[in-house]
Amino acid sequence: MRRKTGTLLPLELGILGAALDLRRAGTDAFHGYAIARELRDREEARRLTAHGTLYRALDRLETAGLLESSLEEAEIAAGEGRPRRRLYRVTAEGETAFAAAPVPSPAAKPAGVTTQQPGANPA
Amino acid sequence: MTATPLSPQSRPTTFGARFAQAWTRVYTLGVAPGLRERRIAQIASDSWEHLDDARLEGRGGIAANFELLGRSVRGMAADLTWRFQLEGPLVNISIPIEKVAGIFFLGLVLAMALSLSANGYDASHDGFYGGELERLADVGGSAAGVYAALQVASGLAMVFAAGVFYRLLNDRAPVAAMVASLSLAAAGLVVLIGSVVYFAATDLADEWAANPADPAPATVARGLLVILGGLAGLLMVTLAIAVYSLAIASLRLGLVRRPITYMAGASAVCLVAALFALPLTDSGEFVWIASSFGLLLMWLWVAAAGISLVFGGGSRRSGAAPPPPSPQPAV
Repeated sequence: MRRKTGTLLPLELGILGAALDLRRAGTDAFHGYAIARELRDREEARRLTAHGTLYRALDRLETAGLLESSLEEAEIAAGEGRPRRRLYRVTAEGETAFAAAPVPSPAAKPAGVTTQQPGANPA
Repeated sequence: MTATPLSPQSRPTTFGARFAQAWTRVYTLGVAPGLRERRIAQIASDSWEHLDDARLEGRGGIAANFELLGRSVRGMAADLTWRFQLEGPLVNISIPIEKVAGIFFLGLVLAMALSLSANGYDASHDGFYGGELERLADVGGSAAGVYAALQVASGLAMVFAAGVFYRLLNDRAPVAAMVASLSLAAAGLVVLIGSVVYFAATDLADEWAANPADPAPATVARGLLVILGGLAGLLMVTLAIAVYSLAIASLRLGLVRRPITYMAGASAVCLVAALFALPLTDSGEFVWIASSFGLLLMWLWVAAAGISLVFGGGSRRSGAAPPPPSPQPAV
């Protein structure tokens, strides 16, 4: 079934919620694996979100303007001896969309939304 | 974190990361380069972070690799959906022409080997009733079925390959593409007909073996074997035309290195020599050696061209017509 334009899926709400929590904790930008781990920890799930599901959701959020991304500086990655990360940030639109999203019913609880519920104004 | 992080170079050596990378490369084939590299880099980074995180948490490498493998496998449906959403149901996989042609050349190697193994009379057996018919009767029903199925598969593969070669080469070498495709399709049809004839002949040979006093099955089987012998000759001619047309097209387009093409030329010389020697000599030895050598060289050319195209990327010469630009996927 095709969803309505502008409607956020539970996973997308979960990503936004987790990202906003991370921001409040002092981490402004996150990379793909970090958000997968955050979602798992918050949900107390046994498994990490699958690659395809996670990056498709991140792409959708970015296309919708709710996230923005940039590649980190090559020197930082080289200095730490790892591949470069793509770092995501929640945009103002993303924050607004999360705050405006209807609170899901318990049966459709979004992944990762435990501390801050969508619909609750973070301000 | 006090532990030394994994180096990026160590990442691809783990099977979970290698699988994730390989799968990403497969489903992003044909995606606009920037988008493809971005997704490959995302998965490479994610895999590295995953394994590094698992290592820091003290989880075993194998367990972490299986977790990574699971994440790739569980996400496959979403990956494919993402891929289809980029371009709609008609995915434009812009694999280079050399690779596609090479893969089909290698498939043709197998199809040729299978199809050319069907012959009418077996030279190692003397006579018909005590030799060929007895040999066919000895072939078990299941063995004959498997053989016929392989023949059908190789025939269908040839017809399919004919269509692919036509689409690949038509706009660059139309005449050679047309001749190669028609003759390859004809060869495929001959193989398909031959498989039915062979299966019927083995059935009749079984009947004859069960009741040698009844001459009818043996007579019909003999007729079928004569037809099969004729089909084998027709198959060689159609295959030779197809292969030489492909060799000409490949040379013109600079797809295959010139020394490899000499192999096809030598093969043609051998087969033509065998053809001319046929009415001139009573001894079939020269004809047999020349035609066998010609066929072997033809087969080797297809194999060498296939390997060269798949692994070497061809040898487009300066002055040769460059391929038309691949249509970019609509992103």
